[in-house]
Amino acid sequence: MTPANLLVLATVLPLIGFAIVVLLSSRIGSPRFWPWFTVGMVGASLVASAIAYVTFMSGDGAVEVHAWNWLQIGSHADGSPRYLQIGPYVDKMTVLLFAMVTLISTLVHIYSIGYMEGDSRKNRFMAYMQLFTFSMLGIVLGNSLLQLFIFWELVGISSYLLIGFWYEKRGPQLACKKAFVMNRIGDMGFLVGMGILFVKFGGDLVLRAADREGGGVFGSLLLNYPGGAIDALHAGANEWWLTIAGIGLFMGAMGKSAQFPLQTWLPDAMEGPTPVSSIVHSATMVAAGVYLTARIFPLLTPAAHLFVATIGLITLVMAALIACVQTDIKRVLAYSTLSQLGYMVLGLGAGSYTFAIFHLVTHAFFKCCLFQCSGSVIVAAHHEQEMTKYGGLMKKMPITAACFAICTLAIAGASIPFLSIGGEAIAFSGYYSKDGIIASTVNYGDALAAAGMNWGAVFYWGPTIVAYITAFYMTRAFVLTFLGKPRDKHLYDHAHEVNWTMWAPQVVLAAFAIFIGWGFFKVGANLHDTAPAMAQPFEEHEMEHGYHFVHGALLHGFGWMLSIALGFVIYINGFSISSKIAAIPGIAQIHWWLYNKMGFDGLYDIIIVNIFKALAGLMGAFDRLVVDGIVNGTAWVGRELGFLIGGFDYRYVDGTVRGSGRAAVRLGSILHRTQAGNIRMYVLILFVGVFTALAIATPFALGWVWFGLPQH
Amino acid sequence: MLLAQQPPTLDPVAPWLFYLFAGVAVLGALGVVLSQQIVRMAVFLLFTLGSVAMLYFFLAAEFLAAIQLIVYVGGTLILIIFGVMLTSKNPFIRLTVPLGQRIAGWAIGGLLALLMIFLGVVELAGGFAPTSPGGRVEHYGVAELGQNLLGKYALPFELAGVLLLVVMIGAAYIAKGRHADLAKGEETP
Amino acid sequence: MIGLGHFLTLSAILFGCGVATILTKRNAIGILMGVELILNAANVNLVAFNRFSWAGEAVAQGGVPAVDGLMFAMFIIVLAAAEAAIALAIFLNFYNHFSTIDIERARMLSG
Repeated sequence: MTPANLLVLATVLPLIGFAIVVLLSSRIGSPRFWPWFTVGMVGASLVASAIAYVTFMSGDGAVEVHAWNWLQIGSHADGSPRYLQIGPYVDKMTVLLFAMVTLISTLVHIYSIGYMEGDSRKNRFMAYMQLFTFSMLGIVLGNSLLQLFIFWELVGISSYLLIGFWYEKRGPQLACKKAFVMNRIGDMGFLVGMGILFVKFGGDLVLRAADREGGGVFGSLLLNYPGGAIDALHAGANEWWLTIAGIGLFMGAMGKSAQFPLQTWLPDAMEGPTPVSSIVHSATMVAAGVYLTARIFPLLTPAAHLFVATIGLITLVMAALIACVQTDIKRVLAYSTLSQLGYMVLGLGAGSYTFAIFHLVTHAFFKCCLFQCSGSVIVAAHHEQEMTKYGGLMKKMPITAACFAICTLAIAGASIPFLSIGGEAIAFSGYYSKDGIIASTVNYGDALAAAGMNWGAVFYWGPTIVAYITAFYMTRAFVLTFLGKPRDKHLYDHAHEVNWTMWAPQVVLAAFAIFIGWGFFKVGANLHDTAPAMAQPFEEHEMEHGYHFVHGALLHGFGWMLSIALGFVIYINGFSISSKIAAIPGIAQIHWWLYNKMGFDGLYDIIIVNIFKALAGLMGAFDRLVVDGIVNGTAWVGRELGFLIGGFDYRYVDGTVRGSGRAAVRLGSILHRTQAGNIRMYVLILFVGVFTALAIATPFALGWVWFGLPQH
Repeated sequence: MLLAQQPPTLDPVAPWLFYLFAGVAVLGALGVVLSQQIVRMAVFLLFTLGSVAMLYFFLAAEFLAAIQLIVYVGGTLILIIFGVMLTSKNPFIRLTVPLGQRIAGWAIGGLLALLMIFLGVVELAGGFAPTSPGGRVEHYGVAELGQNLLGKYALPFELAGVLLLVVMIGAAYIAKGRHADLAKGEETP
Repeated sequence: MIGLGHFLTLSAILFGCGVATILTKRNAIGILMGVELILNAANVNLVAFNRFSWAGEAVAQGGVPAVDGLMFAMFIIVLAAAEAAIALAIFLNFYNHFSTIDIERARMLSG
């Protein structure tokens, strides 16, 4: 089987699993069977993806595209029908993301078995996870924008189902609604972008599968830039349309990847079960936005790139600052996800296609692991999520603590200073991808500065400083949870290491978090191969320049140690030092502001929700005063008329009816003697009647007799 | 009075053929009336219906003749025979009506027939002529019928379809209901 | 020579036989046969009148045959089939209820 076939198989398997579990799980099978069945399905998907990965990577790397005509949508200029083509689009990024998504999904499935133990709706949860995995794989596999959009919406609905899985509680209800609405806002942009592409640049760009002639958007990846069809698109007045289309499509990504200002749903999404958080924040949903941005990369004009980079920068700085003051362990991780997504989006905006996706992959492993660790802690702590109640849990749950520590180092981008093998630093996976992004932003910022925008430097100082902050807040979370003295004796006494279905996936993920970035595995190199030509303007020496900056700014590998040391010093004794710092006037206000998530929820409540409420009130008033007035007036007239007619009815109409009723009763009492129930008698009488009527009518009909009327 | 006019006729129809089939039809109908055995009545009815179908040919209504054969003879009559078999322990059972009532029935039937013959034949038929000039037989093509069914008579056509569906469901429901009750009733004691 | 009168006579006789059948049978299915006879008589009438038209109109028609009579006859055949099906269903039910097909037993309509 070719890689494309394998990937289609890998995509469909979870869907089959979903269907089977939904249809059969309530009827047959033991409760223990069905969760493992779903693991089997997604595991088979993983095997197929892994085979595809190995086959494709050992091949010549040529893009494999298949397309089947599905729906006719309009027609070409020459009158021939235009079809929406569906089918797989397979390049190195596709197989890489498939391997990543299926691996993480499998591990999360296994983890869910432990986490959802005892939940009466466990089977349904597993079914939703299958659907979620299927949808995400569909996005990655799609060969055209519209096909991507179909699965995009499927991801939206399955995330809605999963976040709101505990729908008996108020929090998940609101969170799933919020996630859905925020995503809808982004999707509107997506639709607008597709509409502009369809109308202004031809439907082929949206509908057709990629090919070397540049059929679909994905096909444009294969073209050289500058030069080729995309260059023609960029020319002249079209540039503005293309900018708007690109920003519109990116808005879809903003919704899914929770970029500013649509970021508020992601921290709330942790109301769902922790396995959902671990998969949403790593491999599936938020990855979809970054993936989309990468796929439409060649369409983005310089202006759109600037927009993307700015959004990414705002998100990553804002989220990192908020993460520093949160006390809910999942909330800290959620904001750290936001911040890391900001890195990826900034990287894409800055033209660093390769490192953005690279970071997506590495981040998926350590963030999934972090969430699973937090989930284990939450299970051990009887669903207490506040870090103020934690402390010292390392003794109770060593495996989880070790995994959390490894992933903290990975997200902090830890490396061993001054040591390298074969010219390559020895470091955790996060180091390679994140430093790559910062290095490329240096070039981007310099390019902006050269174009007269002197503030371009924020594009590399921002992520650099946030790299310090990242290490700090992750250390804070680790120290507050696992080190120090227990702050809640009762909770500490009852804590225990989780069972193997939960810690085993953590260990695997932690292992990946260590080595997935190593050059030996060629993840970055393979992604570099798929990058569109326009994403590779950086000459080697320019990248070197970027790396020089990074190494300098991060103190040649000592920067992360500094941050971690700071985190240890401040938080090793719980909140005793930090509460003093937070009490300093000035900082207190900032602390309050950050603790309330920079007030975005409040802001949206005040501005947007109130505007809509006011609008609704206006509409309501119009309804009450005008529409209701008309309706009530009509009703009043009708009622008065009704009284009049009613009186008439009672006296005359009813009188007639009652009179005829009495007459009928009298007649009936006479006639009922003839009704003996003998059907033949009835028929005989009937025919006698017919005969009599005919016999009487005949003379008149034939004109023998007439009532003095002139005969015709 | 239209009696004076010579009634126009259908030239191509051989009179003896008409009399043959009409005779069979009338004899069959009389057989249905006079026979007291339900199976024999069914056979007589078969003759009548078949002959009437033949007579439709004389009226240039071949399609209707076919329909008559297929639906009436092939469908309705079979249905009736099924009904006979399902509803009588002895198909040759006699269920006789008192002679007075029988005579009343024959009388009223005969009187109606006579009155209609008088009206139709004596007073009415003389004024009619074949629709085609010269009494030439026009063949009403099936195409024409089909176009009418889907054109002028589309609504009745659809209604007939709905009616047949309702009848099918209703017949099944009516015929089934008591069986189930009966089966239950037999099991319980 | 065969004219409209012949067909009307036949139809009248069939009709009379149908009426007589209905009035002289105790077997419900026999009555159903009578009904079928009556319907057939009506059909013969319709088809015959489709073939013949009032004197003088034949020429005006210009030889384009109308088929309304045939259409009515067809619908009547359809309805007769439907009626027979329903009637037999009722008779079956009746038979299951009273263990006979004799309509003399059905006196529940008496008021």
